[in-house]
Amino acid sequence: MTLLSEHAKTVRDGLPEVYPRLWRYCVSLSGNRDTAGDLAQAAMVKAIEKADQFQAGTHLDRWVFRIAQRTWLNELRANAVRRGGGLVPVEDFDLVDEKPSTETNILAAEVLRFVMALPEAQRVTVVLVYVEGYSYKEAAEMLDIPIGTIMSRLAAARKTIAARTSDIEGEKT
Amino acid sequence: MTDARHFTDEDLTAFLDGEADAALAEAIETALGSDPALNDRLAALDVPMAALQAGFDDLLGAAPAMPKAEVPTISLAIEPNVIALAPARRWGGWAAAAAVVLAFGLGAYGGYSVDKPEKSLTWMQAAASYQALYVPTTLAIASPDVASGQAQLANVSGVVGQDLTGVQTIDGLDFKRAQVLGYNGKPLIQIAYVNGAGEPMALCVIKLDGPAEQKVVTQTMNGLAAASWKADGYGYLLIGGSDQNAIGTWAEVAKTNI
Repeated sequence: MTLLSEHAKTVRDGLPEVYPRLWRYCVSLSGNRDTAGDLAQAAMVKAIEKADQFQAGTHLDRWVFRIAQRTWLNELRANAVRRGGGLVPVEDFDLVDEKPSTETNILAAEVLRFVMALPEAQRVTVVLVYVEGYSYKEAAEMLDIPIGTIMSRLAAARKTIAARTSDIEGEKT
Repeated sequence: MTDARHFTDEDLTAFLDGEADAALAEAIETALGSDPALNDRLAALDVPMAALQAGFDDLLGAAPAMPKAEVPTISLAIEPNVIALAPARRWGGWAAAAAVVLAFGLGAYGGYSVDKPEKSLTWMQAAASYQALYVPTTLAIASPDVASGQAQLANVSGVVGQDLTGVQTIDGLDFKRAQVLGYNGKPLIQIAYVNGAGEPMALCVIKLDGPAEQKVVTQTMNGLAAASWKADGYGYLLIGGSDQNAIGTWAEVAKTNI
């Protein structure tokens, strides 16, 4: 077995587990389910084709996320903007599966919508840190930006989400 | 308030996220005990984190299935001599020195399995399965200029032992790149194009065992228009899109130019 095939095997074996999160990350990048599907599939193909560049012992998820992010920024974003999708705040982002409308579920769905309506840069940062659980440092490395920018994006996002959450809670009382 | 320290929203965010260093965290905690305005500012940054995570967990459940990936074990065992045949690193970001393993042969029904590799896939079926993974996004890259396109084609020509430099220009197809895939330990050349409808297309070339000749035959493979032929001991497959008439025409042009 060559070095290449070991890398290919690692990528091949790891992709199915990463794929749902990859798709979700692509949703946060593109703000759009359809675009996210194409983006995730393109990132998957690129990961397979670049498998020999994957460093054994590093994190496959971060590597594939970076591929998706670069694909989005370098190749797809401009097209999405031209089509009027992607960068438009997503006010009507709905979950596919309607769950029983408990208070908890309603709030979760509302907060998801608030996050999806954030500007793209804030949205992606929120997903990496608050959803995927990466540290500021890890998120900064993945997005190739300074930690200070991570902090300012999160602070701005927190303000918006907190204000909108406060609004809906105010409406209930 | 006379205490002078002003905490930025970024400081407070880092505090809430557990990312503030010890000195900052301690300073904020101390100030919170005596500064109602700071408490208000902190509250204005407080988000229902459990609900946020629950919303995105639900989204995860809505993720589509990964396209089915059958991985013939045999094709992973690329022979060292195939890699040795591969061209030098001249293609920028692509790892040109290593043949890319043609790892995916997918079925139409979703799901993923590595337990039942379909070793019986012909090279054309494997190439068609792989092509079915391509979406317009995959080839949403700038087309190379003539010189770098020729360099790519010269490289893959050297790998497969057949001059393919004549297929950069095919009327109606926009050349994107040429790369080396591997199939059962043999180099399989993939020359990628985008057609006028923006659909990804590929001309795949493999050296056959023994002499073979066959005129252009069109068919549908994996839901894609396809045209195949054999010449001088090489097998050719042009595949992609849905235009059966055009694919035959393009195949004839490619056959003439090789």
